[in-house]
Amino acid sequence: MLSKKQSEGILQKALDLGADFAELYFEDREDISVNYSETVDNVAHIRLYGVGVYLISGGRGVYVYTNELGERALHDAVVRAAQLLGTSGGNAGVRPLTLRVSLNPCPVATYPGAVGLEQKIALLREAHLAAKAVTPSLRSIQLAYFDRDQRVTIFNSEGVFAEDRRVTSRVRFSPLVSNEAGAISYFSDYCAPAGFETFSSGRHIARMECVIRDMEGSLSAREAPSSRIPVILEGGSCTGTFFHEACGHQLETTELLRGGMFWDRRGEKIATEKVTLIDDGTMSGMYGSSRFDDEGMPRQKNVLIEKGILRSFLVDRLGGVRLNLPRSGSGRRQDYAHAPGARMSNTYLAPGTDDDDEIIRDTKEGLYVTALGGGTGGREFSLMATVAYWIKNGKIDHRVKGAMLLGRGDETMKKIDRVGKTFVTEENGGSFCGAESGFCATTTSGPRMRISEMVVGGKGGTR
Amino acid sequence: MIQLDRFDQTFSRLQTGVDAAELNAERIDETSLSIEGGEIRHCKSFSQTKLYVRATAGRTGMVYTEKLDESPEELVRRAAENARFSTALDPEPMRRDGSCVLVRPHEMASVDEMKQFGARAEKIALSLERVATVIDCTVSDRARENCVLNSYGFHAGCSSGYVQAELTIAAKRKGEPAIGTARISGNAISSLEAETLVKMAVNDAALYDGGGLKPQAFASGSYDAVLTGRVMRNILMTAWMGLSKQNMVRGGSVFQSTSGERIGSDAFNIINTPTHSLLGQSWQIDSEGTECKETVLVDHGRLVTPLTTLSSAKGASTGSAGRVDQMTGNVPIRLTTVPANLFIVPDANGDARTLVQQMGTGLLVTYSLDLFHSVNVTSGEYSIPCGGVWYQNGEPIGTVALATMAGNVRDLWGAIERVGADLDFDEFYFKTYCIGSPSALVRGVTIGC
Repeated sequence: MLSKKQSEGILQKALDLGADFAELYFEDREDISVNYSETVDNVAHIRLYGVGVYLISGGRGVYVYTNELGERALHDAVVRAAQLLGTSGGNAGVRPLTLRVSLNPCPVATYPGAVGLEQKIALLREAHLAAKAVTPSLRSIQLAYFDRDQRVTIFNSEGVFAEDRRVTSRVRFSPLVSNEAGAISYFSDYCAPAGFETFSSGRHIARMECVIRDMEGSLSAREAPSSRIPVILEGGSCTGTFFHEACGHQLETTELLRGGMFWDRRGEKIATEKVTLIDDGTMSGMYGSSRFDDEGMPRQKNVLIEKGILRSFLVDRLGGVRLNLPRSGSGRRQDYAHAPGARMSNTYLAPGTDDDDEIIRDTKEGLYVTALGGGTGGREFSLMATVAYWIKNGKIDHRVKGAMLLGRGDETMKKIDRVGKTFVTEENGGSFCGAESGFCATTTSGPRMRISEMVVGGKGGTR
Repeated sequence: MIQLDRFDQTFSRLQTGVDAAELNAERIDETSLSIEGGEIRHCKSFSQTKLYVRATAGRTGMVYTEKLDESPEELVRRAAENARFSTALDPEPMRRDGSCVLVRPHEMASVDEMKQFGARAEKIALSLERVATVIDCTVSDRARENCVLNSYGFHAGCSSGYVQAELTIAAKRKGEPAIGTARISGNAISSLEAETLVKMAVNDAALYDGGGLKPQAFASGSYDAVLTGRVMRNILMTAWMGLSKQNMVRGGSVFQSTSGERIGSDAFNIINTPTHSLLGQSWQIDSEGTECKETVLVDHGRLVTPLTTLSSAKGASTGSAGRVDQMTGNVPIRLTTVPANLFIVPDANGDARTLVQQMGTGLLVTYSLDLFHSVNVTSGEYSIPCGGVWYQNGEPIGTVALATMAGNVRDLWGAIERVGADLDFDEFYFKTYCIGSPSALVRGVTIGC
């Protein structure tokens, strides 16, 4: 990696070549992965090492990256970037690079490098034994352990010098459950923005056991009927993921620039008054949090929707320039091989005032979703329910499977008629969201809520 | 060029206790331009070298690095150290014969050429009455070098490249615009035609909502359907994993590994190939150094062979070893089965419109959402959000949105009556393989709405 002085020289070169703004994003990252089925399948050590050079001129941007980190190679990268940008000369000066300080919301007790592979393998061995004890319907389970120690250094021509060290730990369970009713397999993660202390509580085991039992339960569940019915989303990731897919991406500058449905509707009512939606990258101990965003700006809490009124967007530097919007500390990227883009971090629905149990009792007939398997956002969104129950006369009646929740964000959010009081964070610690700037760690949270009518797709005929 | 000499030297004198070692190196150079108003709006350019090293010391361990000044000895030592922890019964096999060097000539496009092509496509699109705006016009050039070198003296390498153009337009409508997207690729920019790209994007938008029809309500049930190539590709983008021998052995595929198993109708044929005339992308050798050859996977609905790696095929690999794992932001380091250019074989004639006439009454499914969560490879069950145009006796009468196709992939493929000639490909997100399909007429699809 280049020194601060060398980096200053490279940034100045970029401005001399006509860029309005220049940034260097250095990344040095070490991951360990262990794959385990009946035994240790393999162990891998991973080293990511490279730099991204970002130049902006007017509303145009160029991103060049390489894993050749010598000063000469970087100089050539900047020259290439300027050529691509089509600029020639400039006379701006780089402001003195000053180290920025910001609170780390995710302190680490035990760094991955301080823990031997034997302990990491023992973790998986213990999980494997616990899995086999859950049910005889478990045919096999693949487990994987991942830890990551990422060092990021950002320099930019506005004088920002930001350093961050981000550690995450994760286990992945991929059970295969089958019985006379059928077979099913999907993966689930347990993760935290922390070191090996993540696993000291044993919550990852409890989570895995719950997933296996849910999978077994789905085999004998009835097929969900196609219907338009009230849908209750359990507090935690169900509620948060709904907003993530229904409107979250549409509030990021990448989508706004592509003619997203919410541009520019600030001040307009886009949801019921029960909806206050927040994205906050400062939340302590949350998977989507960090000291800075990937453009060196301190993270912040962004109120996106307040009592149904659209208030703000998630904005990165280039998106902000093009749309004339202030940045929101949301410039994020998967790694140095991706240009930053505005992305969600920890997205949650603020608690409401409705009684959580009354939400179910007050529903004559509908669907109660307690786990989602993923989804897609856009003008239309979709969410796959992996654990869902049919409600009849205000009570949970039977388990259903194969329910696909569909809708349009701008329509469905106007049908949220109940929001519970109890705030629940994402039960498995977090997940990954994929978009143009790569896969970023996120969480989705919130209280239990009800949508008065939603399209549900399924194979169980029509209700 | 990837510098291999220092690895050659290290492999010729392995450390004590290390039985074998292998390097899989990949270098990619790419420039991608996004054009707006005839000028470059956004651009990405990179040069990246990736080194995967595995070592066998009784068992196999792996390391991956992008830090190019790390010594080969240290990489082998770390891989061998990781091997110590593996309790797998056998070490991963490495090739010993079949060394080859394959070059697919690629004429790199200059930035000016790419910009001019994109500007031309944009201009042609905007000159059409039906087009409201150009949402995105991206032209990219990618050169890739892949090599496998090991301590058994095996050496395989390939280099290739392609130019690709993508266009997304919004077609004029009274209300919300209809979006049309198209992608073309070839060996050189001179092989691409801007007019063809624009025509494909405009046709895609017209197909999307039948030219601006109003929504049509209909009851959930079993219907005949024409699935456009895009919808078929979306399903296949996940469902191909059912054709992986690794998954079959693990019990993670709805299909068995027995050759001759019926998995589709007589009209259903699948080929995996390193190159295709419609594509610039090519995958000539895999990550184990096996040369990828054109392979019939499914012949008239019957499984001929699954996709295999050296390990899953016990030496007789189809050249399908790659490094694509689940999409989580982790580096895909394990050797996993991947296709090259995998496609459903088209018919000689016909397209979606032809199939719709043959269908008569039913749904033309023009789009689907959620590529990776909605098909379960283990059970074959799918539940796919979709939409399209409802046809009555061959005439379009309204659009359908927020619908769900549900069923089992085996039944879906088994109910294909006919496919069209309109084969088209999509590139996987990580640009490590392509999936292709023509439109298909399917009888009796369960559709909920």
